[in-house]
Order: sequence, then structure tokens, then C-alpha cells
Amino acid sequence: MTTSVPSTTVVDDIADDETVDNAVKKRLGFGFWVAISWIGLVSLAALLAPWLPIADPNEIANGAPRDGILGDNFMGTDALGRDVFARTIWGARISLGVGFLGILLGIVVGGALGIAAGYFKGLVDQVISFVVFSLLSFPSLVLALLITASLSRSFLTVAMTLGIVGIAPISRLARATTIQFAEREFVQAARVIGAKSRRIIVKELLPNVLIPMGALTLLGMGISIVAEGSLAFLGLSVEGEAISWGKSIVDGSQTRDLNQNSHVAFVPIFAMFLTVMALNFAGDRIREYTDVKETAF
Amino acid sequence: MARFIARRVVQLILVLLSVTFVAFGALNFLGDPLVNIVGPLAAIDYCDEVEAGLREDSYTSINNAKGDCEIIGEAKADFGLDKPVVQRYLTWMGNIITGDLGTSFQTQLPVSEIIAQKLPKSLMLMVMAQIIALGVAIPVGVYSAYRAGRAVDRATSVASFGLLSIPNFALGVIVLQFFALQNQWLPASFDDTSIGTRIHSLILPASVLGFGIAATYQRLLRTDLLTTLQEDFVHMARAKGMTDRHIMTRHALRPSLFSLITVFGVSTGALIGGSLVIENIFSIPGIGSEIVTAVIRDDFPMVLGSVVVIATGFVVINFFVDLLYTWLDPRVRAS
Amino acid sequence: MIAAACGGDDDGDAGTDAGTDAGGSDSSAADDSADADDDNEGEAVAPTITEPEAEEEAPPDPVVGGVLRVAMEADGDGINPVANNFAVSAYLMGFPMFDPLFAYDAEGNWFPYLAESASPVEGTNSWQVTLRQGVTYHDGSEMTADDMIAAFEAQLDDPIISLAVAPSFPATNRVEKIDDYTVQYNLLRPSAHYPVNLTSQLGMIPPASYIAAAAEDPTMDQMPVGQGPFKIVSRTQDDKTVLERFDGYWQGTDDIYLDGIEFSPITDTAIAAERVAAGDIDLLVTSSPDAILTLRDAAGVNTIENLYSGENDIMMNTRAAPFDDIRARQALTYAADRDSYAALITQGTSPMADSMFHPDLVWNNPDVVQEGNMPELAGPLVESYCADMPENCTDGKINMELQYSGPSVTQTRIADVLTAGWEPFFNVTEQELLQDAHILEVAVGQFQVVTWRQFGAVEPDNEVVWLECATAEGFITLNWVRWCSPERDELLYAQRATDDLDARVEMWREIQAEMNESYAYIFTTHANWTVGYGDQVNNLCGQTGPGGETMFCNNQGRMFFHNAWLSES
Repeated sequence: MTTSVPSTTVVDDIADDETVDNAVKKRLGFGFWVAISWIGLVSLAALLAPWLPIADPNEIANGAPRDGILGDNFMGTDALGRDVFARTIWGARISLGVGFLGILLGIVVGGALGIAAGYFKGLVDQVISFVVFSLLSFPSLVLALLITASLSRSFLTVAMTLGIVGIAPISRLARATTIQFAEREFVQAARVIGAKSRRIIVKELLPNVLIPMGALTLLGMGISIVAEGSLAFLGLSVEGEAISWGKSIVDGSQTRDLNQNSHVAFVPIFAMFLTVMALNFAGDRIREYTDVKETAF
Repeated sequence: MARFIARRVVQLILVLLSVTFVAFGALNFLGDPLVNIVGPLAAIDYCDEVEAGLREDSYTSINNAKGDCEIIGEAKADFGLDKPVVQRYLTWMGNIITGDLGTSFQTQLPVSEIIAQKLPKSLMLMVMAQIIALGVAIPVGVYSAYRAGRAVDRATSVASFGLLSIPNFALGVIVLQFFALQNQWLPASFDDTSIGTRIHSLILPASVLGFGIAATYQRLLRTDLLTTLQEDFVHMARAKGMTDRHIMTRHALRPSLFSLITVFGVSTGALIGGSLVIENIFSIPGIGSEIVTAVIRDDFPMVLGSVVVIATGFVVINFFVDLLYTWLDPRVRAS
Repeated sequence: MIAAACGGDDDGDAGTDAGTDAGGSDSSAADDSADADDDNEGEAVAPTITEPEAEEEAPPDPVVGGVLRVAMEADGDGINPVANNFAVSAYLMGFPMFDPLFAYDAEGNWFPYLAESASPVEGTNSWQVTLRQGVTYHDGSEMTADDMIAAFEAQLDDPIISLAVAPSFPATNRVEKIDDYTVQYNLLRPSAHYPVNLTSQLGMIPPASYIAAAAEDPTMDQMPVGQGPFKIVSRTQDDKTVLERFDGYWQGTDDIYLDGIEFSPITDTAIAAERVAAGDIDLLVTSSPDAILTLRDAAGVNTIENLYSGENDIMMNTRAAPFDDIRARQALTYAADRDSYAALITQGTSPMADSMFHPDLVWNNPDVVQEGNMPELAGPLVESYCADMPENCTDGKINMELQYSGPSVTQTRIADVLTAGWEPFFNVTEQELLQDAHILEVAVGQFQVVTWRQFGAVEPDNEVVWLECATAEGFITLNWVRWCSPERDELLYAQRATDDLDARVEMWREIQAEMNESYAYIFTTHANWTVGYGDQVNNLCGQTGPGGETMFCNNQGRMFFHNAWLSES
């Protein structure tokens, strides 16, 4: 969404993946790897949750209700006496899962739309851009509301909802990046030789578009994770006994709970904050060091 | 210019048509408005059989001379629910053009009236939030670009990043707890008594929203400023002997505002819809809370009316953002 | 009215009004005096008042003026007693505007309020109600029998209310106008206390002209015309409702001290409680344990708690699998974790419930014990059931659906607690429904198990409508669990026909025993409707009726503000 002419240094050299790798790796920095490690750690914990030596997250009265941190339970208990630490780890499964699945949908659909618009231009571009702009105009949370309030609130539905909301911004980036690269010499050359569009797209454009998209994936995951929290605040996150960070935060945000046992809300808030920050940071790093910025419209 | 405007107006209309059609369709397929109109009778599922003469109508309301299915049939006719979706959509769109947004199923009041009551509160929140955001972001952004790479810049970078990453509902909860409940420095919910109390009670929620947005603005502004500062005309100005401050504020700032403006437009459009969650947390009876309630209660006219208003607002604002764009940078006018 | 039953204590449950107006059933809070040192001889009990003891010196003189600011847990859909279903918030706004025909005194006995008198007609099942003369409506017209009849007919237009009223009346000639101020109600069965049905919504009478106009234009439901000491100035739904003193009030305005009353819905009752403590709000009515605890703790805040305001329970649909089988119902009961519910949800703000009556009440049957927390007994029953009905079981556990209303943190916690207890024996699918849909599904019997709140009427006769066979049939059933017992019906109608307290107590004890054996309900805790108010509010309780009767205070959260006053500030 910024207009700027991409700086000419790194981009000119992007002729093959290896150069890109080198350019990127050289300058990512220590912070990037810390962020990636955290994301990896949380993901691992989420995946292995059933086998970790932690309490049963749904066990009522595992400890005394509303017990503070570092009491009998590592991070205390909530209003029903359930172990907060266990619930946070299990919550990661849904929060990260929904974020990942959602953004995947957004990338597949949004990416396809954007690349098509950027490459083929003309009518295709106009139609797709129009659709995307309409989608963007539709208040996203309202859209999410409509879907989750009306359909069942399963994991898949929530993930799909978040994905749909992500399609528009992703396709805009894909389109912008595609436009940039479509003008480059190697693509023109391929065209002149008579290579088929599909081949050009897959072999030449896609690898280069994927990098900024990769950055957006990470950023998008962060946004999806937060969006799940917003849905939870409206009471429309995954239903039943499923645990998510959003639901845990809501449960701990009752006024009296905030007054007396605020850790119930703050542990998942902190987990979400660290994870989103790590995703933002990593995504941002990638974006900066490939030095390609989104373009406007 | 005229062509530009004309094109944008066409785009506005087309977008609204598609948005409303999607909303209308979604609501019709996903919910049942009958519950709001006839109450528990909506659960009756044998009216087709009654019509076909296969069974007798039931009479739940004993004083009523009409049978249940008769009541349902009448309700459907009254609200046009017996006609096909497309026809209802066209009728509804026709009404909208004349300014009639329909009647809320829940309260029987005209939708436009309800929106007129609730929208100003969300708008006030948005305006305050943007003022806070710009008021914080522009000076900080300029200064951190000016002192790029130094301690100040790094510190603000970290702070920005943190603010960006914290979900606004979490920030809202924390702020509410600390500033309003534990220490009663500011009100915990919206106070409608006078313009003064309104502003006073919106300070907290506007800050929560504003600081989050400010972080984005600051980062964008800083990035663009840094790019601009490398341009030739800045070097020229330096060579001419202009002061740094002059350069920063008079020459570098204006062309660096593009990203900021774009995002400003998008976020304003987004905030018109009221920040649903913040309104929830701070008990603000704005358009956001209204939409949530309306969706939950299958109040079609209310949801559709709100969506129309918000989508229109979004597109109109983006339209003005585009205008502003072209005014700021004649190079872009070509598109 | 239907809103009555919504599930459980909550923030913002608009509908939690137990046993309301179906046929005028009312909160049967107490028939006892719970003032600390009274000895109860099985008489009516006033709610527990936890405000500090009255001072020794003479009470201060009332101050005229001021606007009482009241917070409600949720807003109502409208305040038209003949068109809207009244829950607590509607009553809070409604009672200042509508004097009921009859009211309860502090002992729980009915007495004529707006009506002048009521008497049974010798040799028939009819009652005649005579109005006072010279009662003026807010629009200046005089109240007559025509208005009462118009209201009665209008109420029958509402499917829910008509279902509640219908069983008690014949098909024709239900009401008769005897003269301009007297109406006769022709009941189907003898009742020794029909007027108790007219103490709440059904006894709140708007003028016939308004009733007709509002039927045409439902937006008028928001601006009712009544005959109470306050009339409506403005109303913005979900925002604020403002009332002001009505100078033409039939009892005169000498002791109507407040200039006006303002109502605001604040869905987060814990925040509302804090605002009462801060002095932002004068009074709050809530049943949420969090808010009650906050009110109790706060300095400068007094509470009037009514522990007889109904029971939190779990209901089963006895006409649908699997709970049409008593083994499943028993298993659910034995496996119910009531102890955790009481400790974690109610948090000690009210005691556990064994039946529909609080132990302090004369009606309570001390031999009836609600079973629960006995999971060892559930196993064999589930095995036996699953052996017979394998299609309703998976992996040796009975499949069931638990339904509750949301979105609500409290309701979710309740569901979690209960599900955890049932998990070893049942495959529980939780279904969270939005409130209107939730009530609807229960009303039409499309549920298996729900969390609910019910009963609590001051006069148990008002509970009949939830228990009789007549309301267990049909499309919409007010007998939610659809349990019909002809023997129980006999008892219900017999207790209605007599005024002999001992006889009625005996009958109600039998009824409770029968309910316990039917296993259709699992009672968890009694409900506690609490009125929290700042020191500046005076004379909430102790208000008197036209004949000097001391009025019942805090009937399930419903309050009279007629003679309240605010200290100077």
C-alpha cells in the first residue's frame, strides 16, 4: 500500500533462487531467528500438546479456583480451577491452526487471483480488481460475523472465515508484485520466445512473487490469530469445549476476574502478543531485506 | 479530472451493488427472519401440508381467529418473504435509493433512525482515534526518520512494533482495567449526557484504537521519509543551505505521505463500521454493537442497512483519498 | 415471561425472570420473614436485607427531587404489558408507570392495590374485581372496566401468554363487564386466590385506546401509557429510558419524592456494580454472582438480597430420546456435578437447592433431597440403557445434546462444569444458541437437556402453569419438560381451590416429592436477585400500599420506586 519505486539494488539481481537466498540470509539478523525460534517453539508445543506432561486443560478443579501464578499450578488456575498453562498450550493448537489454515486459503485463492490480474491485465485485471475492491469494502468483521453466527462454529468454518477476509489484501499484493515482475526483461524475453503463459507464470513469476508473499503469510497469520480473538470477544469463535487463546482471554476478562486473578487473561494475552510480534517481526524482516514493497492499487 | 470522478462514481455504485447483493443473499440463506416477526410460530414446519390440505391448521393463540399457518402466511406477505430473493433484493434496493432503509424487525423502528442515532457515536470514536493516531504518528515518524538508526529511532521502532502486535481487544481490556476500573481516572463506559462527557468517555477507547493505528502510520511514514530523503531534490535543498527542519517538514514530508494517506483511508473506512470489539468492551452504543446485535438476532433490515451505510462510507472515503493523492503528487495523476 | 427461564445467572440475560407472567405466576420469593431474629412459624418471609441496622434516631425527612439512575442487566424489547413479554428490566421500567391491580405485602399475601377489591362469586368459579374510581391515565382519561377487558383480550392474542392463561378459562365468556368499574373473571376451576395472577404483567392495564393504537403501530410499545406515579418521557432502546413524575397520579404526589427515573442497560453487571460503588449509578438489579460479590464488598453500597428468587436447574425433555427413559434421567442426575456448580459458578451467593422451594419457606419439603455427585450410581444405569437402546449410545456412553444460551461467559462456564461431570457416561454435544432461538427451541420441545432458571414466585399457585398437564401438550409447551402426571394435576388444582395454609403446604410437599421422583429436573442452586444501591437512596423497602399495607420488597428483582427518595448531595 505504499507507493514507492523499489530500490534497485537487490531486486535487479533476482534472477535465480540462489542469489535471492544469499541476499536474504545475509541480512536477516539475529532478531529474525529469535522470532522464528519462538514461532517454532509454540508450534511444536501446540502439535505435541497431547503428549506433553501437562495437566488436562479441561479438568475442572484441577487446582483451587483462581489460584495465582507459581502456586500449585505453574501459571495458576482459572475461575473453574483449570490449569492455565495447559489451556494456553492447547489454545495454541486452535489459534495457530486457524491462523495457518486461514492464511493458506487466503494465499491460494488471493494469490491466484492476484497473479492472474497482474499478469493478464486488461479485462481480467479489471474484473478481479473490482471483485477484490468489493470484498475489501465489505466490513470484514461483519462478514466474519455473518458466517460464524449463521453456520456452525467449527474449526474449519472459523478458519475459512478468516481466510476469506484475507483474500483481498493478499491478492492486491500478489497483483502488484506480479505487475512489477511482468515488466522485467526475463519475462518479456520468455514471452518473445513464445513460452506459454502458464509456463511463464510458474517458472518465472511465481518464485519471485512467493517471497513477498511469504512475508505476507507471516504477517497474515498474525492478523488471523488476532482476528480469532476478536471473534471470541463477540462470542463467535470455535464452539464447545475447544480452547483457543481468544476464548481464554475472553473468559479471563470478566471484570471481577481482571480485578482479582488477572493472570487468567494475561497469560494468553502475552502468548498471543509474543507470537504475533514474532510473526510480524519475521515477516517484516523478510519484506525489508527483499526490499520489495507493496504498491498501491 | 471529470473522467476520473465519473469513473470513481461508477465504481462506487458497482461496489455497492455487489456488496449489498452478497449481504442480502448471505442473510437470506443463512438465517430465518420469521422468528423476529411471528415469534415461536416460526418453528412450525407443516404449513406446506396445511396449504395442500393434508392437515388442519393449528390454533396456538386462542383468541385469534386465524390459524397459525395463516398468521405465518400473512407475515410472509407483509414482509415480502414469499417472493423470490432477487425480487426482494430489487425492491429493497429500490427503497434504498429513495432513502428508505426499511424497518428493523426487532424494534419496529425505521433502520435509518436507528443508524442515525448510533452512527455518530462510532464516527466520533473514529475521528478521535485518527486524531490521536496522526497526532502521535506524524511527529514521531518524522523525528525517527530524522534520527534514523540512533537510539531514539530504535526505541520507537520497538515500541511501534509492540503496539502493532498487541491485539486491540487485549489492549482495550488492559486499559479498561487499569485506567477505568482499578484507578477511576476515566469513565468505563460511554456517557451521553453532553458533548463534553461524550468526548471524555471516548478518550480511553479512542486511545486504544489510535495508538494501534499510530504504530502502523509511524512505520510507514518513517520508511517513506527515509526513501524520500535519498532523493535528488533533498540533496539539492541541503546544498542550498536549508535547515534540516525546513527540509523535513516542508520538502520531504509531503511526498512521503502517500502510504500514510492510503492506509489512513483504509483504516477510516474500516473504522466507520465501528470497532465492534472496542465498542463491546467500553459499552459504546455505536453502529458496531448494533450490527453485532442485529446479526445475532437475524434482524435483516438492520444488518443490510448498516452494511450499506458502511460500505458507502468506505468507498466514498477512498474516493477522497484518491483525490488527495493526485493533489499531493501530480506524477500519479496519470493513472 | 418466557424470558423467565433463560439459563442461569448471568450478565445480560434479558430473560431471567422465573415463572413470570404465564397466568400471572410470580416470583414466589418468600413467604417468610428472614429478618434475623424473627421466629418463623411458617409464615411469609421478607427477603434478606443486608443493609446496616437502622439507626436509633428518627429517620431523616424525605427529600423531594432528584432523578434516580437505575442500571439494568439488559434492555427489554418494549414496555407494553399486553404486547411484550416482561422480564426484570421491563418490570423495573414498567412498575413506576403501571400500578398493578393487586400486589403482595411483606408476608407474601395479596392485597388490592389499583383495584379496590376482589371477591369470589358465591356458587361459581368466578371472581369479581372492582376498580377504584377516579384513576387517571397519563393521557388524562379515566380507567374503567373497559380497559381491563381490552387488556385481557389483547393478552390472549399473544401465543405464549394465551397458552398460560387459557388452561384456566373456558372457551367462551371468559370475562364479563358487570358495570363501569367491575369485571368478572369466569374461571374453569375453583381458585381461592385468583388475584395473585394479577400482581404482575397481567395486572398492568393500559387504556383501551392505547392498546388498539399499539396493535396497529408496534413502535408505540416503547412509549406506553399507564396510570402509575411516573410517565415516560423518552426511550432509546439499548441506551436510555427516562421517566418523570406524573402530577395526575391517583394516590396524589405528596409522597412521590423523585422527580424522575433514568434506566440504562449495562450488560456487564460487574462494571455496573463498580459504578454503583463509585456513585455513578444509584441502583442496580442483578442476579450475577460476580456482581453480587462486588456489591457486597463495596463501601457505601447496600444490598437487598432475595434468596428465594427461583432455582437454577437443568431440565430434560421427557418426551424425546434419550431422556424419555428414566434410567437416562437418573444417570444424568447422579452424574451431575452440583457441588462444583455451587462452588465455582454460584460462589456461595446462594445455597444449593433440593427442590423448587428454599428451605426457609413454609412450602419446602425437608425430606426431598436433590441427588447428584454420585457418579458410581450412574454407570449401571447407562449400561442398562445402552444395552436396550444401542442406537442412542456410542462407545457405551449415551449421546446427548446440552443446549444453553450465549454468547455468555457464565453460561459457557456452566456448560463446561456440567459437561466435565457427565463426560464419563455421556457423549455431550454442546450447543450454544442465541437467546431468542434458545427459548424458542425449548418452548417447542426441540431440546434434550438445557440449563435453565425457574420458579421463585411469591405465591406458589403461580407455578401451576409450568407443571400442569394442560401445558405439556401442543406445539408450544409451557411445561417445558413435558412431564404430565394426573395425580400431580389433582394436587395442583386442589391447592388452588383452598385457602387453608396447612392443607396447601401438605399438597405442595407431595408435589415436590413427585417432582423429585420424576427426575425431570436437576436443581442446582437457588437464585439470588439482588438490588444494590448507594447510601444516597432511601426508603426502597417499607413502602406502603393504599391501605397502609407494607409492600413486598424485591420480588425477584422487581422493585417499586414509588416512595423512594434521594439524599441531598
